[in-house]
Amino acid sequence: MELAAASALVEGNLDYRSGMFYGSPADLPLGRGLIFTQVRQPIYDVEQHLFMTVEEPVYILTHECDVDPANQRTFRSYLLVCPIIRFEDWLAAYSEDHSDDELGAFLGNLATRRVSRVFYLPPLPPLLGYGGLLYFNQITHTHVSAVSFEGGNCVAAVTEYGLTKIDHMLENHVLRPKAQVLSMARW
Amino acid sequence: MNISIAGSGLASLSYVLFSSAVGLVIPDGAGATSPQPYWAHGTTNLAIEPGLMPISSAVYVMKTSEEESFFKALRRSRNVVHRGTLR
Repeated sequence: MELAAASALVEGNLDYRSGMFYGSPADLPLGRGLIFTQVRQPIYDVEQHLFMTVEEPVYILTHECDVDPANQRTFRSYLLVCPIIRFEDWLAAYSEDHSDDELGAFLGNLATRRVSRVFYLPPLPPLLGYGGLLYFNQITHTHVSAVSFEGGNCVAAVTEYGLTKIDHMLENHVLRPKAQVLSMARW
Repeated sequence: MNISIAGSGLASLSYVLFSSAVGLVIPDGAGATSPQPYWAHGTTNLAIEPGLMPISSAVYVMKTSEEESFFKALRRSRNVVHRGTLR
């Protein structure tokens, strides 16, 4: 499937509104909801069984109060980030091992938020010309010094509307009830 | 497009009634036919227990090869600054 067709398939089935998703990051402090073009972070390489240091687009997860230098508190030097995979990069990788039918099924479920650990970010040119994917199982951390606002590195902030959609998916991904019952279920 | 959450009808109905009772905001999109839990940003009164969507009944189960496509894409697109070495 061509990139434009795949992108149109997702956009055409989205159950949220692309046009309401992003706002300006101007004057916003480092914190949840910001999108950066390039941030240095650790990623585990399953082929080498080693961690690599990489730079890639990210979505910030940590609340701004927890990394505000004006707040005199401990543990404010690190923050959680979720790597953003460009839609076209993922599509190329996916298409190597899957048919168009499989792709169509996946994209339909992605657009309606049935893929619990992946969230589709609407297009945000020029960084995300065809949108991007937040893969929640790749959430990692970095140091605040690795996140720079210089040179237009911070390209957008999601709106309250967008934040709600992402948070809803995160909540379901990390907080949904376990399938197994743990000990001390009643006390 | 509306989402149909199999098996969650009763829970959804309960949520609608509960939401209405406490004035929660039900998100658009899914709408009243399939309300979703919602953290109302800008308020402090919504840490509510029945907030989790029964996603286990609606989730798309990815194949291993589909999971791998994310790692492949990340590995190819990212700018590797440093690669560790095994001792």
